[in-house]
Amino acid sequence: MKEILIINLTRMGDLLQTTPLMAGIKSKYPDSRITLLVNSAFTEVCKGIPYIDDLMEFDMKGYLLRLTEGKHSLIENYKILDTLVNNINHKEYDLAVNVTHSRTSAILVSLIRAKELRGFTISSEGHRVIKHPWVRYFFNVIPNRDYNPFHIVDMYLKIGDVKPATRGLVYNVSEEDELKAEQILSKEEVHEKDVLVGFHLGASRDEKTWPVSSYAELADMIQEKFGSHILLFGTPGEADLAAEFEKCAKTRPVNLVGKTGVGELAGVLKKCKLFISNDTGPLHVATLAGIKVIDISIANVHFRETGPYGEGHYVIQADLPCSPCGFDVKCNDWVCKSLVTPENVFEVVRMALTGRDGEKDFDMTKMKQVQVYKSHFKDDGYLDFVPLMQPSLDITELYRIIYRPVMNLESKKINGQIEMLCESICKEISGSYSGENMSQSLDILQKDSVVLENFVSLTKKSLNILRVLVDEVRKDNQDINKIKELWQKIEPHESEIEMIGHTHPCFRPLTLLFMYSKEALEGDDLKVLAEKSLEIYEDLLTKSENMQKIIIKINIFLKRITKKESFAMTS
Amino acid sequence: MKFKKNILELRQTEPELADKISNAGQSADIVISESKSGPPTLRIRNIFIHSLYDPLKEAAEWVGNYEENISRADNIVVFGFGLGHHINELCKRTNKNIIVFEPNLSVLKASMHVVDLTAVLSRIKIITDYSSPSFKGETVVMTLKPSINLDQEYFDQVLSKLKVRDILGNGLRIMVVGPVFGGSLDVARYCSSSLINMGHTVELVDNSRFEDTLFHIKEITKNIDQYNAMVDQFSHLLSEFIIARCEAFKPDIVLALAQAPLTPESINKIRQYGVKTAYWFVEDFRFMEYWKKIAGHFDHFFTIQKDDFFDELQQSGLNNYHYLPMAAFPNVHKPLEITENEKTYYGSDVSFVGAGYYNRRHFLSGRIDYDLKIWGTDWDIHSKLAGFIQKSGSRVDTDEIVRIYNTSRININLHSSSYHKGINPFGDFVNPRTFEIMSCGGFQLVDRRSGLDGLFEEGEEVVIFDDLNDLRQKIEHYLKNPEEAYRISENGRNRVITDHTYEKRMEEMLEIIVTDRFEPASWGDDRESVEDLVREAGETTELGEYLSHFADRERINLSDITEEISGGDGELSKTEALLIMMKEFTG
Repeated sequence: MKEILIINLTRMGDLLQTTPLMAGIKSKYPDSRITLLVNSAFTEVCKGIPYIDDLMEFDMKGYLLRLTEGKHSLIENYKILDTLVNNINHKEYDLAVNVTHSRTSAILVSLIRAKELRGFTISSEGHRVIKHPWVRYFFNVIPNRDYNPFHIVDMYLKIGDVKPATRGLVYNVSEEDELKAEQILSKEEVHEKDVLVGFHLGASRDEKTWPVSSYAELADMIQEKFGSHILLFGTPGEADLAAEFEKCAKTRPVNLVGKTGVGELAGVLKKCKLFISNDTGPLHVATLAGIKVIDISIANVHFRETGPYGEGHYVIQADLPCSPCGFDVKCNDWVCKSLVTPENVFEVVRMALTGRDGEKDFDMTKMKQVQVYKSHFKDDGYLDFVPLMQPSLDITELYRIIYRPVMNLESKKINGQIEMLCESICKEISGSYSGENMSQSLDILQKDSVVLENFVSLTKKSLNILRVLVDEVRKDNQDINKIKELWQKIEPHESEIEMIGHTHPCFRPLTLLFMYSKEALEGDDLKVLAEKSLEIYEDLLTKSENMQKIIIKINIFLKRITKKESFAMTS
Repeated sequence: MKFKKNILELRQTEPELADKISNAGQSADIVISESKSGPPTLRIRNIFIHSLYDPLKEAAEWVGNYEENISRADNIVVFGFGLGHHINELCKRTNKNIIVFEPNLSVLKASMHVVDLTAVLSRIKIITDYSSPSFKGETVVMTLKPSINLDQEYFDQVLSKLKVRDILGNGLRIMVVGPVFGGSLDVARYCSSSLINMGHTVELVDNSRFEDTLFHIKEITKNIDQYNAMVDQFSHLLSEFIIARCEAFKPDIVLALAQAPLTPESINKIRQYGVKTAYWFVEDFRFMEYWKKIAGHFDHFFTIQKDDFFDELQQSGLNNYHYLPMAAFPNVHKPLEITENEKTYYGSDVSFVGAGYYNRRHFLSGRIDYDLKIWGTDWDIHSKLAGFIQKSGSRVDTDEIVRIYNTSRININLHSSSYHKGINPFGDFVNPRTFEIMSCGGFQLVDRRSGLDGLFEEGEEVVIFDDLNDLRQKIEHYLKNPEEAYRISENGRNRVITDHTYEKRMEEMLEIIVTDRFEPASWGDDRESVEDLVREAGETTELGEYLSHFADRERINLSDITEEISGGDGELSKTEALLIMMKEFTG
């Protein structure tokens, strides 16, 4: 019996995105019990999640109010947290996973009685410690977004050491919810046979909100062509957006803003043909309702991480050098919002609603300055987004493609695999990307390979020294001076390795992961430290050598293809 | 005889009180009889102050009820003396500071006749009036109920005063807002310094930095409406600055001086936080009529005029006004060592310091047969007075003024008027100069003002003139009698530094503000007493034990605690982790 605690104190969307992890755990450990700690604001969502054996809630908003209002004493407030911890600790867990990226949850998880802790946690001295390699990768992501090929859901799976199996998020829409959904729709005089398209106008931040006027224009186009009903969804706080929509649009929408809880939303969405929105929680509800979605990805939204997790969904993004941008960007002119025009989105709507799988039937040359992607589960079981408009393959994109197998491959004994892997990668590339820029990217790749060669040799040198050190540490009479000397010898190599990460951002994913891993080394036991360091270095060597091999192969295959010019389309 | 012994004992420490008690009359209301157990008991009218059966046992029980409070407190206040049984008992149980309030001298006298109080009389302090001592630390008030019932009003007032003492003793946060320019600028500074000296935490909003800007507006436009609109907007902006400072500084009280740039709306905003607001209108209400717009917006409106002004204020429907005359600031207005050069430059037989108002010009033109120096602006340098005007009529600053007061043999202080030729017969308020000259030890002749009554003793502390001839006579007299002048100025100086300093005014002002249903503003100073926290947590709990490490700080909040934790080394305990988590919540 495995007792597993998952702490997810984030938003509804994030909660839903943990469902494949939970499914994976249940699959790997059929006798396990999952305890889930959530923000009480989202307890309703948990009703539809089948894997929860024990639900614990904490009223985050209420607690924050208590703290800031100052009406309650420090002691009273302390006791609330103490009680929470005690309640969670009424049993000992085999594994506690914190998927909440916050210091508060990090501190909380460190107080849990668990044999193994994963996720964002703090050390016994109060410093941030990221325990599991995949959690380290997770936090590596933000500085290296451009190179990250994995969706958050898949990263959770890796953190949990479970295999992907669900090909989508999991949620059970209850009969009651279905019934309520029917009632809601009939109240609005919407019939079973009608073609329903759902819109969600708002988003948590202004930047990633597509203008209401654009939604309105789009609605009119859809209504005209398909005669469908447009259903507006949103939180009660977004009522003003719906009002604005009603002013701008010619078509009268069915205004369901503030009228649906999660379950009812899923129920209503099941009856829709399509759902269009910004990067929002309801986007994920739509995917698990089994309908197609179009994700309008603008500003600092990185759809590869947070986009629709399922097969066959669409994402549209502006084709700009600055897109997507970072969270710290202060933009004065969201050009990306205007480049994603209603007309462009309408093309994707047509694709989605016409029901044919072959997008090649659609003339996407009309669509200027945008890129469209379609979600697809690859052979490794993880999600990928395939470009539909044959964009050029720039070097960042190429590295992203390379990092997928680099991060996926755990061991060295895969030489044969690499060959096959690279061949399929290149086939995909030739099918999805244009030949434009290809030779430039390959040139850069070549130049970088030289640096990577150096990187690998530095890693090897350090590893050799480290092996001697570990041998020494394992002895009964350790020669402390020799050990010190050896550590000192490694230092300059290590600095160089880290420096490469700074000067060559394409290798930063490797070096940052390496640095986080070292940061996570705790304790005073020299033997343990040395052995763990050895593991870290071996991992670095594996990854960098694999990367080398992959780059060599891809280079060869792509050059071959370029020569043959057997690309699907050159723009 | 008991009484003799008691009085002798009392006389050692409080001779005045001993006299008062000795001279107190007998009262028929007071009946002393023997209790069933022996010791005397007391009945006043139909109220039994002590038990008829066993007053000593009762006294012991009474003290027992306050056991915990006594152990916590630093000072003990008792309401009601009775026959002193409970005082005796109290003194047996504790060595702490004891003060007894008892307004009825006859009762004290009676008790001294029948109870041996020699053990306690030199140890305790007995107060029979409304004076309230200031205490340090925690005070417990123990009440003899029957005594309270007899003199409810007295004890209510005393209690209220004690509370005020307590609040003031703890120190308040006070924001002083000065004007952009003008007379009350200095007053703002003096108030601020005085309050700091009294132990309060003060922020002075010095708006004089905007003087240039404000004057610049005059240069921008000649159109009066436009000018007024701009000045109005400027005041609004300055008001916003003050509100922002308020939100950062979190005062308990905001004191604004005359012409402070605070719009009525901004005052209302500040009051919403529960801050007490006070305005010191140090102007002539007949001359500066803007008080009409603002007086009602402040919790307390202080004036330097009463009678007529009070009538008008009352007619406007207000009752928040108090009389608070001007004062001197002895740190600045003081006797100085004068050099020979300064004597030559600043000194004269007769001096006049002030702006050349209408009445002063006329008045002084009759004075030119003396060794006269006139200092100040707005004098007509083409008039007969030309030869006496110093520094070509340019401004004299405070430094120079203090030297002038120190070196002149006679300072003429004539209150200004724009339409009287000499003295304003209805002059009421007393100008700052009156106090300042005295504070410097200077000798002055001041025109008659109704406000001088009650502030100074005429002839002893200050010399007042009624008209031109009177003045002439007095100048001659005092030039011939310097020792008399000296004596009067010395008396005047003593009076000022005792009763008429800005510190004294601030004390009075705070007393008024704090007595009037005062509560510290709800800015959310979340510091709590460590003792209380430990008690609430439970001394033996992990949390309680942890918090008791902060005992030396007295009051702490969460930020204090987490700062301490972050600065530490080694492993975090569960308690420390939870506390940091709490802090992280609020970010």
